[in-house]
Amino acid sequence: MRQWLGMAVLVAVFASFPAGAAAISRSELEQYAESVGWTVSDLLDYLDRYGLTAADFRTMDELKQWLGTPITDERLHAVLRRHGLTVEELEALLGQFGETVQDYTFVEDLDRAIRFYSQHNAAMQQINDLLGVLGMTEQEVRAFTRHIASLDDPQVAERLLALRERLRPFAETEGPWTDEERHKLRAMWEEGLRLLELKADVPDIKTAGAKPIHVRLYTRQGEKVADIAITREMLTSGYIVRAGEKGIDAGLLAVEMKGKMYGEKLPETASPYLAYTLAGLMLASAGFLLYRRVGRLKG
Amino acid sequence: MNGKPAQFSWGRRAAQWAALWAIVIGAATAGWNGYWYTVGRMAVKRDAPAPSSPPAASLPAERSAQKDAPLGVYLGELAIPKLGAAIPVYEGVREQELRRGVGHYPASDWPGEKGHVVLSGHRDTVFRRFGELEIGDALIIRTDRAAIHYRIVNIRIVDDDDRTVLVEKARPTLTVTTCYPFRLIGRAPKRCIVTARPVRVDALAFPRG
Repeated sequence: MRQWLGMAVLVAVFASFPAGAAAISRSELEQYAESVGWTVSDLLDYLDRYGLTAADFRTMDELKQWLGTPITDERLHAVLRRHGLTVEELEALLGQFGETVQDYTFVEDLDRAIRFYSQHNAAMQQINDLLGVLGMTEQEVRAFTRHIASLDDPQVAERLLALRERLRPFAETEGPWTDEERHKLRAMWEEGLRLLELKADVPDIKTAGAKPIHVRLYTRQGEKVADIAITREMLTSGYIVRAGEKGIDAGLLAVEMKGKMYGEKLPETASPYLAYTLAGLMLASAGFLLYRRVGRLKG
Repeated sequence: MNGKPAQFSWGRRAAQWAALWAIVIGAATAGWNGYWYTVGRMAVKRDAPAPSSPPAASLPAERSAQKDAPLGVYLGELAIPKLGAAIPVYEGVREQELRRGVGHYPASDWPGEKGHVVLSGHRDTVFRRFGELEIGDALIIRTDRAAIHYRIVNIRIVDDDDRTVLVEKARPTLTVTTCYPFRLIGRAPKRCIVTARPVRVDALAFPRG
């Protein structure tokens, strides 16, 4: 009977090892997603933006805590009070960035969006004004910045800045351009497109007159990002360069927003090593004891 | 009595195997984890007081080099004069970085610019004596170009899901996070957050290797 005692010790040691994470069930996810007006795939997309999956959370409560507080009418008004905004002002601010309140599900997200947007509202106003003349709507500017934020290239901001520097001398002069200048601008346009992973559908530029030509921008996957209308007058003046600068600014803003800390979860800073070392030692010594017991019974 | 010896020997053999496996697995677990625990403990170097060096106004060009450093790259060291310790700082807060030293939160800024610097470390290895720190104590971040001196202005305990810590700050700030309570083993549902403000920047006369 004594070796069973040793076995029991072993089992106890094994059981004391940290148990495998209890996963969240699909139905729990569905239930929660529905309660905030999402589908499960919306929820997973949202987690994916932070590089997480549902498997990164042990329990539904943990996930809920991480996600934050769902927006209700009452909480929305608390946020508005905190920032000293009215509903109309909030809609105007979000609209500037091509969004609406309905795009937000959690108080924390809305809160930091308001903080970031209020800081950059004036810059965005300029961007919208200038790109608006080119026929880009706020939604298109939004699609444009979203696309840039989704790029993986970590150097994109640096390269955009460099491109902006090269564009600067042109912004101060007025056209019409010499052949050489035209050539340089053309090269920069191509480089900008390559950098931003965009394709452009440009009709013959010489047909531009008082009636604008339409340049359409697509992602490499063929998704339409924006539709720009350019007249001959814009092409022959510094206007098109200034618009280009604003386009780059919009891109830089998008990158900046992406790089911001969004109030993420704090890193896990309790290392498991000491506990596991002790558990390993316990397991080994229990095994040793058991081995000796079994051996002694032999004789 | 007849059948018993055979039955008995079968049970004994199973027990022997189980015992052997337990020894092997236990020793391997203890070895691997013990190794990384020791690496973490050894990462903390004893730190002599730094020689006084001329204050520098700013840290030009520090940003682009450090800010986008790939994960796992050595950035500098965090010195805690009160504990006489200096701990290497690596880019990233994955387990790979945290077990070798202190991790720099990748989305946070790097000293020398206006923003918010966030460092994290294990409570049981690199920040084992973190609980001794008090408001007013100094923290120093040393890179190969400069030493940035900070003074602790606040220490607080928050829940692990507190989302108000890793946010943008209007003024330059250093935040150091570790797990709480300060025990060597056990669950850590809370985080200890130390906030510090820069007081001075020294250009290093003798760059450290």
